[in-house]
Amino acid sequence: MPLVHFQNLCKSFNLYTQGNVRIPVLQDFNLSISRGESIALTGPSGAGKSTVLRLLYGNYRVDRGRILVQANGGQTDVAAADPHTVLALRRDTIGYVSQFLRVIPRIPAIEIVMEPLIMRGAGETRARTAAVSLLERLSIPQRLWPLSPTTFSGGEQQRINIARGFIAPFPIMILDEPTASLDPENARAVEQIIREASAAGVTIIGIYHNPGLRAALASRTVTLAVTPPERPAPGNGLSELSLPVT
Amino acid sequence: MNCISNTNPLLKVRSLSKYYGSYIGCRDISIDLWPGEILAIVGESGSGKSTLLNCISGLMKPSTGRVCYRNHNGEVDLVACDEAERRQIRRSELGIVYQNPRDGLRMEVSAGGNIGEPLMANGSRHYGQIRETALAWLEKVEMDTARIDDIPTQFSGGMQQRLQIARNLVTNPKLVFMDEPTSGLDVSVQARLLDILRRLSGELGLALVIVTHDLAVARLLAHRMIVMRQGEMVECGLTDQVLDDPGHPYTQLLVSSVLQT
Repeated sequence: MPLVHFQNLCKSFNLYTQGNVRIPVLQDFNLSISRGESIALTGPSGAGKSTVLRLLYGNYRVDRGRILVQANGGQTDVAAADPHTVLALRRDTIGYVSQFLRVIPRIPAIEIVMEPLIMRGAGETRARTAAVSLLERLSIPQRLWPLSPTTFSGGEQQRINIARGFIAPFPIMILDEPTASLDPENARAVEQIIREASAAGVTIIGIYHNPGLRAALASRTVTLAVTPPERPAPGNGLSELSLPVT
Repeated sequence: MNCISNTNPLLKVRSLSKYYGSYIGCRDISIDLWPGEILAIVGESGSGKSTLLNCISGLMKPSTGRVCYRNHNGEVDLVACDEAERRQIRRSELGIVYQNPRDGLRMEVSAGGNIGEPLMANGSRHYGQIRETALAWLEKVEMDTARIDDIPTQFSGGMQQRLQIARNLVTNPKLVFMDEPTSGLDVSVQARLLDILRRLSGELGLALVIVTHDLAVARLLAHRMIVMRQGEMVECGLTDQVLDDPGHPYTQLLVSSVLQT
């Protein structure tokens, strides 16, 4: 039984406030991922790679189809799960490192990194020790630890993102361009962290634009294609709601 | 600790409606809230969000529907139960933070007295302990403990709001309702208050229902949100999902209208 199974997944974006444009992104997307596999999604920009990851994480809503995840001795369809279930999956089963660090201002970097462990009930000391270890490994200078990452460079923010993503072990890790803003040395450090997770049996689904990184980390590559735009139907307008035109 | 509990919902709202004559305050709202969860009710003026909050919190009787609150005694329908039981639960297990702190504070009673009063209403008698608790709570909401004997009119709006929060949290409620807790406050004051709420909610495992027109407040604090329009719940889900992938046209309009969320 696959650990993650995308079944006939369909996703479009309907932009009601922008001329009722409909952008189909995924049409009957199917993918089975076994426990311990490391998959890379590839394809041109706009093909839906990040969309697949966000749908798995419950950040985007599914139009049609199922996303079956083995967790807690059972199977959950993320597409149909209630918010409470998705929150539990995010706490214990699926970790996510996005391209961007959405920073809550005024929270020190080290606390941002500690938070996933704290949320699992770990004590402050244990969480802090784990955070320090990762921050040192990612070459974040100690003087930055008590500061909010809002003023950090892109590369520094991304390393905080990585540290936060990897501090608590997850069976499934979603990585969206984890080394995007990083110089070669830091990219190597992150690559090593990902390798260690993979060696420990973590199932990884990633997007890596760097072909070398992709080759080093992924045992299988899945290529997505851009979904062609639909021909607009006549009278394809929004009728139940009249919105002010600005 | 901010663990989202896997136990049963703390609050179950079923088919809640409130009509003012033929005017719809809110219609057919159903939602569950789990322990430790923060829910934002978002909408523009006249959307029915405050009506919904007032019905859920027991301040207003809905026209139809149930509000089932779960405590150690089992499940109580706050709509159908008698007034005495509702008041008792509100006093000991719930909190209500009003938009205007003057509605939630005793303006002629000292800060310490405002915090201590709910303890005394629940049976505490030891004056020294009550004062110690009040001092501790002033610290938790980042207020100067030397001002424990000042009365609320001597405080700024932001400080009054923090005092109101302390007054509500001193009895260790499971669930607190807040109606626009940061409206009217300067942005720096708002930020501080939101940080305090976020921290306390995580530390105490507190469930919050917050009415706000500000999507950024929802993004910062809430795990889940519902979007109200003309009395109807047009969208609900995880906060990041509703804001990053808004499905309903009205939600898309709201999200595209704000400067940054």
